Amino acid sequence: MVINFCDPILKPRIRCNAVTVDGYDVTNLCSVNPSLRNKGLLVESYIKPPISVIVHLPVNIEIRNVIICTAVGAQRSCGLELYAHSQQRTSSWISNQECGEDSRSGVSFPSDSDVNRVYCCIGRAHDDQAQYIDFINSKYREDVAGGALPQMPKHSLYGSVRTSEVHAKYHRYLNNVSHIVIRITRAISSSACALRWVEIWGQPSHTCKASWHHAIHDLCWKEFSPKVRQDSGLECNNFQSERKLTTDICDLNEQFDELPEEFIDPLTQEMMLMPVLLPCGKTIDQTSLDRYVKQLSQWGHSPNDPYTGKEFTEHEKPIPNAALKARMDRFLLHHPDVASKVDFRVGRNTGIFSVSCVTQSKLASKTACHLDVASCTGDVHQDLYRPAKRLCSDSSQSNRGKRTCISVLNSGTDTSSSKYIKVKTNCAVSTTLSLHPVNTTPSLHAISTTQSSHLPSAIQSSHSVSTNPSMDHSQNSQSTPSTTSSTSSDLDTVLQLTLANLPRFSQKTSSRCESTDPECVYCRKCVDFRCLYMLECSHLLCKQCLLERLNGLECGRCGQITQRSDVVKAHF
Amino acid sequence: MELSDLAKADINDVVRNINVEETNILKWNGTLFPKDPPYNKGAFKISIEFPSEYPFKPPKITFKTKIYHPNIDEKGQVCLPIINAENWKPATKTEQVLQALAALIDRPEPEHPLRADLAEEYTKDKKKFMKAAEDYTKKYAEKRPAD
Repeated sequence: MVINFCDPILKPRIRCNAVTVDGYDVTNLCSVNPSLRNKGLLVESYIKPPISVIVHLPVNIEIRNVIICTAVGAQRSCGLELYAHSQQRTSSWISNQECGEDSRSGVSFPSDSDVNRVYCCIGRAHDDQAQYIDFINSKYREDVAGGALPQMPKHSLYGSVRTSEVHAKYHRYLNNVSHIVIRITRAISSSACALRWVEIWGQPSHTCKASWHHAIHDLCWKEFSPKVRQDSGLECNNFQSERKLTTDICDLNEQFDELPEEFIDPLTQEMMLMPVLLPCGKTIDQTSLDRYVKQLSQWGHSPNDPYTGKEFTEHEKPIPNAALKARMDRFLLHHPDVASKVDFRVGRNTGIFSVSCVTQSKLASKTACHLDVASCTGDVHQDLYRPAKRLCSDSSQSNRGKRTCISVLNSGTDTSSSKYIKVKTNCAVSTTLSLHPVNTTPSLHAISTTQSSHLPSAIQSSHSVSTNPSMDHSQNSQSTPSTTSSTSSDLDTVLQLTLANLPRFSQKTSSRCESTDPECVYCRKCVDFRCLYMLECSHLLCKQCLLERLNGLECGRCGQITQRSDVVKAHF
Repeated sequence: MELSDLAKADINDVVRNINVEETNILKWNGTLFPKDPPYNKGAFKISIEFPSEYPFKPPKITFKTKIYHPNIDEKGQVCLPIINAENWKPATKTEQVLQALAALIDRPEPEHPLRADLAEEYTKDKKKFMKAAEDYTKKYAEKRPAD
């Protein structure tokens, strides 16, 4: 436990017996204003040494060392003497309970005339070259019983330091010091007397009351907790460190207000959803690249780098920037407010898998919030996040080829597509829909209409509402997830459902099918999917019924007649 | 995105006073101050129109001030390879476009003319072309500020 008793938080009182230059007052030495503190004390040039600076300490102290910076610009003091006074005191301004402002003003400085009588000289130093003079008490023993204290800021020393031992006739002038006088006895030729800063390091003396100890302790912890110290960096002069601190805070604020620049597509200046790394080293969004490639294809060009114009080859081609994507996902997960903004932007017709990735990570965080498990939020986040991500990556892998087709579907009218996206927050429905674009259109409309009243509330992250459509429309009945495990198992179910249904994707022919249950229009009982045939009206019939009828097949449901040559095999 | 580009484009001292139209942020107006004769006697108003698909489609530059130049037609349309729809790259910055434009004004490309008669004159009788262009500039171009 070592404390700088000249630090402004301890409010030492400091006085000088000479006139000072404007702006270089002696109070600068312990000013709370960092810019003033950086200036130091400068005595008017016409005043000759000796000059005394009296420091009235907040409590009686044991001195460890006194470091003095003697140079203010080109002005430098070169001869210093250190005096101490030991005065028993009954009160200290450090503990406000015991003495208020009134008694503070009552504390009197000893007059300069009796400096030599009252004070005891404890050290002398004279050095023409040194920038710093350090008076060290070699007998100082740290009191470990006082408890640990955070490191207080101190000046770093650039230049020569002159060290000097302190000696005293009586121990009390080192162990129980109430006042310290720094006497400037010389200044370098034609220079004014100057003191840049003073640090008095030590610990409260044994004679101090316990309450004073506590008060100092509390003050130090309050001001110099390890976190603040970390920000103040290299213990350089306080002014710089404080400026650094403020810029750090600014950076933090910006970080919360704005997206990191690396998440922004340099072409569209919008948040990327699926970053891809180009051969030129830049990262752009997959949607931007797709649009660019589409533009190129209009002119008959093959895909190339939008920056360099070099054509993509086997070795030089865009690759997904997975690391950046991971960072973006983490960012979105921790900033649900940003995620919601991004979700809004999803309203533009973007790639479906990147969208689902974002919305699902959002869903994960939303669900976590809804589950109201504040105590273990971190765990929940991770638990939910993992299956969601797996789902996304799986579906994107298995469907890379189908992507264009789906985005074509997705780029319907603006409203329906945005509704579609919103509905996507129900992960169950969304994945089923996205993987069965053929079936999507009717069911999507169904959802849009049935949910039109619920949509706004569904967006407001009401989990129960958002899972309702998944129960209505997906074949697998799913219970509303109420705990973490059930939610993740839910996602697993969706994943399995998704993968199981993949082959159905290529079934374009069922687009006009009103019912998804395959059933022969004649006998209505055959359920063997392998032997079903389709009429022009997209109704189905079984092989048996087809063989029975020779020509002019009249649909049993809508009555449309199909030539036998037009009947096609239905694939499921 | 336009604003960030604007800040970058403003560095350019050949093109000044770029401002965004209030009703349509996709339309910018600016003034071109060519450095070399015969056009350095006047200032030329230009407008840059960005398509809604920008940056996937190139912006369109038109001259509001009449100019006697082989690569710019009577309607003010410019033949600038960098903003040709076929050659356009989304990574091209507006600043680069304006630089290319300034370069084209100072050094006409008679090989790709919009006005074949001027191109012919430029290649065959450069003195006559310079004289005519200077007169034209004095007659139609905007006054330069005193600087």
